[in-house]
Amino acid sequence: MKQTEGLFPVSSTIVAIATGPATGAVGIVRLSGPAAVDAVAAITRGLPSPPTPRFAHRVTVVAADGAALDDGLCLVFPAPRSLTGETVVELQLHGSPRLLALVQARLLEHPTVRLADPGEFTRRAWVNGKVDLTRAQAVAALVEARSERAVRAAAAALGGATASRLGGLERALRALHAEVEAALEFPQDVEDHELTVAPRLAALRADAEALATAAGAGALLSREPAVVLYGPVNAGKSTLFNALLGEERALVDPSPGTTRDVLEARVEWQGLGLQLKDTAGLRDGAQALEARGIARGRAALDEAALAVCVVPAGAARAPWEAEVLAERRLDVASKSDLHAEGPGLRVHQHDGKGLEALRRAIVARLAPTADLGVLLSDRQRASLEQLRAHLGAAAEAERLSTLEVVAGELALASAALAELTGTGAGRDVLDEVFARFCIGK
Amino acid sequence: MDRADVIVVGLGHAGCEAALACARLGLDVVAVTLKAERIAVMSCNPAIGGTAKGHLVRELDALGGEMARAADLAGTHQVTLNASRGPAVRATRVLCDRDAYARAMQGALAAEPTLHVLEGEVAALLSEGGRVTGVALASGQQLAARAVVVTTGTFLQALMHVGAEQSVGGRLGDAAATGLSASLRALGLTLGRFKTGTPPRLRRDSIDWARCTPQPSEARRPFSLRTDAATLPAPTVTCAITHTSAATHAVLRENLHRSPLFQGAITGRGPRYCPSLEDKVVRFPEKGRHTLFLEPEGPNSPLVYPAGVSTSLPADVQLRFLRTIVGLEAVEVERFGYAVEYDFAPPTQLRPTLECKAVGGLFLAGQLNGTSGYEEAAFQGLLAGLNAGLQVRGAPPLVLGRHEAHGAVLLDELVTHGVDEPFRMFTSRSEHRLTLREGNAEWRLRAHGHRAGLVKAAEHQRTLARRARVDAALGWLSAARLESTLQRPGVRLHDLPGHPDLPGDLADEVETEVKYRGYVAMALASRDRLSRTEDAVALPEDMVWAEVPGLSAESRETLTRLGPRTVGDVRRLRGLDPAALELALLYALRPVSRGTPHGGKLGKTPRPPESSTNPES
Repeated sequence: MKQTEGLFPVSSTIVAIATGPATGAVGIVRLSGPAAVDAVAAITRGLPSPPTPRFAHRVTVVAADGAALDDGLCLVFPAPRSLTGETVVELQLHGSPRLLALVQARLLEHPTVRLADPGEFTRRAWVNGKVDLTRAQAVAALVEARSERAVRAAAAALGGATASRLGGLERALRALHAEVEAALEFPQDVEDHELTVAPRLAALRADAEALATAAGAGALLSREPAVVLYGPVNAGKSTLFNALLGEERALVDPSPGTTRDVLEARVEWQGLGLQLKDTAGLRDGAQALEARGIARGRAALDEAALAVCVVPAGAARAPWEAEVLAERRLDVASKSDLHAEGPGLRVHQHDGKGLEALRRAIVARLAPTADLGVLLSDRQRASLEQLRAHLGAAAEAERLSTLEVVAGELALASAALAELTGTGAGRDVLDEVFARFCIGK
Repeated sequence: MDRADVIVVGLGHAGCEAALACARLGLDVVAVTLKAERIAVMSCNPAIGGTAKGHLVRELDALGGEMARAADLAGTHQVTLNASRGPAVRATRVLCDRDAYARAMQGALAAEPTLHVLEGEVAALLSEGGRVTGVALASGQQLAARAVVVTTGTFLQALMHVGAEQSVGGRLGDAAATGLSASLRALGLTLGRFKTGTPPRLRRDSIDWARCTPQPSEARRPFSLRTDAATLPAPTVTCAITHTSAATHAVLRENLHRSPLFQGAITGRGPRYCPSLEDKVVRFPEKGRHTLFLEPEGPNSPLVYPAGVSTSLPADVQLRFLRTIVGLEAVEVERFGYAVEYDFAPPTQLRPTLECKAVGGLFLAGQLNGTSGYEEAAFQGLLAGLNAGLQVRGAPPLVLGRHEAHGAVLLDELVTHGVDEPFRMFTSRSEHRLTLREGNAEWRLRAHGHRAGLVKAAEHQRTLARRARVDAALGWLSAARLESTLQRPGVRLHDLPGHPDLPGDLADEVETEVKYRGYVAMALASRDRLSRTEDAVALPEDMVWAEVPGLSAESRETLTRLGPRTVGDVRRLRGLDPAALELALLYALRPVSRGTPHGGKLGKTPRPPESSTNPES
């Protein structure tokens, strides 16, 4: 067989330690490719030839000098009924990182076995048609998930939720595009009064809009949003920061201007992971060091997904609220014991009153729906924006211009959606036209 | 042995344009046809134009072809399709007097002093060292030439079906060509098999016209740039519409077993856009009725062409179902509908000039290449003839870009993707639809026709003068800051105070260019984003797809057969699944440092224009 060590060497066999870098009870070394069984047989005793598919064989892994390294289980999944569609072998051993590295090095002695690139098992699964693109991405997302919501969203995507959502959008867009093209290509067969463009376009736009919202929610899960506490000096931001965290992270003192740098902590509320930041209180006329702290605080404020404006109850709020637009701002009155009455959220950072309500309000602002979100890559979100722009232009053309302009925008929308779903160039709209419409003389 | 510069085999719609193009370059042309009286006959419907087809005719005309002019002379009835759906899909359809059309085209051929028509059957192509050298006729006579254009339509190994009856022939009343298929195969070409059909012809005086809905003609407008509107004859024909009924569908369903299609007697693939009536009834049972267009074949012709009832059922069934249709209760059939099966040459064997990759100097055009339609055939005929002539003269070929003409899209689809059913042009096949209008074919292509030698200097000057008037009007709009006013829906140029005085067609052009400016710019930007980078990355010329690991045998075969030249070509291929596509690209563009000569070259844009000596085969 021709040796093809190209950029995409499908004929080679890959190996990787499948379990994490920490010590555990069990560690797994996984191989995929035509030489997987040979490579394992060469470094173990007790594996029958041929091995029984999907059966746990008890084997002994040996060093080059024949000394036993470890006892474990070996499972063989012959192609194509495996994770990747190739022959996959799993060695389940004891979970010592040093031992697993040794076993992996032994396997790499085989001439056609090499170390897997990041994500290569999933990539091979995708190439062999075992998973679609959204599921392949979900595997990566699941591995990287840091919060409960991220795990749930990735699991939903892996279960096909994203694929079916995109599939529904794609079917609706193709059907509409086919209807318009049928009218343009066969004007004598499809008359204007038979067209249903406007309502179907409106439904499509609503779906794309919902998908964008869900993708926004999904983006929050992979790139955890920053929530920044800001406000005047001595408002009690650092006390609130510590209270929200439940630990003494920030130094607190009654003298104004205590906090200089931006303090950060990761928290997970209601399954949503986020970066909580405490900043220097804002005031004019601060000294050099404090002024630099204030500048850093403003920078953090600019990048914040949500800015929590902390002002003592009863104090004037307007100048501080003016710092950030209302859609990115949550208003909180601190030191609620000072004034009995007042609008909005009130917290008393020392006795914990209002803290849980504030946490809930923050989560509700960042993730307004129970929708877990759809996990899309940056490139896919850009394609989604293109899709929405073209659907918008199609709707405008439907009102103000001609059907051929609508058709052109729908074609571009289809191309954007094909990019998004990874189906390449997209299928020929004419196939859809012929399948759906009775046309032709 | 007699000698010509170019031999054209066949004088249908492709052959006529090919022969005229060569003759207009001043070359000696011998055009061989089975029967001189059947030159330029309209074997199916008596109309020229329609969606996308009207565009091809206008493009052909701008390049210096003849079809539009013949339709102007022979036209009896004219409609504008998609009138309200936008200027780019708006299309002209001219119904013709069948005999007058053939006479007009024959007159154009006779007017060329260097064009000689020879009656006979070409039995074989002669070649030497991979180049065509002439043809041998069935009579034994041999003719030498420096290039040969073959345009034999549906006549290769043609078999006609009416119900279970089969007979050899390329068209009712005409023989088939039997020798040429073997000759093409001997030269290394592969052939496939297609089928097409034509409806019955009805006797005009047996139709109850009062029971049908009349479809009068619009005022006639010139199709050709060479036609003066004032000299166009007035419409002479009124068409009519009627519908099938539940009774019609019942007759069809009861007799499906007698259709050669449903029996499996026809194995060639037929076009989806031209289904037989029995096909429509089976596939769309929910449709209660289907529309028929009754089109007289000429002002004095006793025949009517019923568009919409293509069929290959036996004669007795045809008559029975026709008589269930409103207005046709007492109809008499002059000729029954039939299907024809024929050999075609898969066009991926051709270069973009329509020259065979395997045989130098041999050009193929028209239905032989697996297309359908007079207009598609004629456009190929003109380009094949022109490129044969240019090659004989030692001049560079004319290969148009997809952004320049629907005809270029047609040729590119044929040679790049091939065909899996008789190929018809649709405007949606073009990614540049908004800018490829009937109305602007003149600006797009007249200069090409002039440069190639088909358009006379005076005609080219006239186009330049007309364009100058359009540009002046655009300049006036800009100076008067009236562009955004004109962009409003419903506002016309003549609504603006102080507007320049332009003829109707030029005013339309000004309005369209201004109204569409924004959409065109946006479409261009989007398309560029998707494809510009990909078309600039050339694949290795010595790419061996069979070596790519992990590709299915089917994907390898597709890639090898179609020979994509750029990354963009691969992306546009149909029938490759996304994973295969990704794999193919990764392999083709893998870094050179891996010890192979392959590697993508950035910055090289191999298409178009390109030379006819492209080392592809």
